[in-house]
Amino acid sequence: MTMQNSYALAMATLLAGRGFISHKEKQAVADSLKVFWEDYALDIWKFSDLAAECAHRGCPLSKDAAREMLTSFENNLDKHQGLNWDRLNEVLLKWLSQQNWLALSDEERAEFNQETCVWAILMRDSERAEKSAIHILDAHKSLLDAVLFARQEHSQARSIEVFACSISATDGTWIERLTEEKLSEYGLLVWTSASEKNPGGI
Amino acid sequence: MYATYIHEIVEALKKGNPGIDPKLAYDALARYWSDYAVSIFDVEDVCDAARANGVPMSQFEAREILYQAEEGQGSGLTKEGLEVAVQDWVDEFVWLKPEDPIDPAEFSLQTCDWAILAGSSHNKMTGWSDGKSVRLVDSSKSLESAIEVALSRVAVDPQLDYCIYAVDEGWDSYGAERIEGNGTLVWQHHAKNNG
Repeated sequence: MTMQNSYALAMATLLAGRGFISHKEKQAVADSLKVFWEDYALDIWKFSDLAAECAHRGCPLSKDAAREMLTSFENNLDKHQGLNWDRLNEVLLKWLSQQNWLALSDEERAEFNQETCVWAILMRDSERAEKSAIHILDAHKSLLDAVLFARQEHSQARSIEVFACSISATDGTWIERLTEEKLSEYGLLVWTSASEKNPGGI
Repeated sequence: MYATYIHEIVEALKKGNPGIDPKLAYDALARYWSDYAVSIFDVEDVCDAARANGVPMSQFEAREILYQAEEGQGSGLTKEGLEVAVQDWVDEFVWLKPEDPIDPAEFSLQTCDWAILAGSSHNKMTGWSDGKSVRLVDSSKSLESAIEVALSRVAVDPQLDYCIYAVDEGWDSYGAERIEGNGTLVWQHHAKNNG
C-alpha cells in the first residue's frame, strides 16, 4: 500500500467513524481520495517521528506539545530543504528553550506521558550530602507521577529534584553509574521541591 | 497540513458525497492532520522543474514523476529531489518510438517552447518567416500544435526533413546548433525520398 493509499483509507475511516459517511461508503471515499492525491507527492512526518527524537534526547512529550511542534515544523518548511531530521531537531530545541517546566500545573504535567523519557528523582539530604539518592521511575509514568512521588519523599530535611533522562537510562548499567553530576549534565530539570514552595518563581 | 489542502480534500469529498457538512468535515480532517507535518509537492512543482530544464510535460507524466519522487524519497522530499526526478524521467523517456507513440496533445503544460528545424543542414528551408531555418512555437501551444505547424510546412517543402525540439522558454536566439545541442528532440519527420 502506498503512502497515499494508507492515508486515504485512514481519512475515510475517520470520516466514517464520525458519521460523515456510512461504513459502506468508506472504500468508495478512500478511492476518491486516492484519485485526489494522484496530483500530489507527500512527505509526511508523524507523531512517532517526533517521539523518537524526544526519546533520543530524553525529553518529555505531550500530545499537545507534539501538535505544536509539528505545526511549527510544517509552517517553517523550506521546500529546498524539505522536512528532515535536522529541522525537526531545531524545532524541538526551540520548543525546549521556551518551556518553563517548573511553572507547569499538575494538569499539564499529567499530559507529559508519551513514554519518551525516564524520570530520575534526586533526593538530597540537606545535612549529609553522602546520603543523596536517585530513584528511577520508568517511561510509562507521566511527569505528574514523578512529581507526586517526589512530593511524597519531600521533607524539611530533604530537597528533591526531578529530571527527565534519555530512555537509554533504563539500561541497568547506566542507572548504576548515574550520579548527581551526570544528572545535572545530561538530565533535563523538570521539577524541584524549591519551586513547589515558590510556584513559577524559578 | 495547510488549510488550503484540507479545503481541497473536503471539496473532493463533497463531489461524491453531497450530504457532507463541509465545516464539520474540515474540522475533523484538520484535527486528524494536526498530528502530522506534511510537505506537499504538486503538478505545478513538477512543471516548475520541467520549465527550468526546458522539457515538455503532461499531466499523466507529472503524476508519474510525483509518484516516483514520493516512493523514492530517502531523506525527505525537496525541490532539488523533484528536479532530479524530472531529470531522471527526461533521461529515460523515449520520445520517438513508432511502436508506442506518445499522445502529443497531452504535452500541453507550457513548460517549454518548441523549435521546428527543417532540412539536413537546417539552412535550406524557404518560405518561413525571415527565411530562417528555425521556427518557434511558443509554450502556450501543445506539442500537437507544434506538429501541426511542422506538418503544414511538410506540404510546402516535402523534400526536407523536419524535427521538433523542446527548448527553454525565452531563449534570446535560436540557432540550429544551439537547439540541437541543448534541446530535447521530441518529434521528427523524414522526407519521403530520404526514407
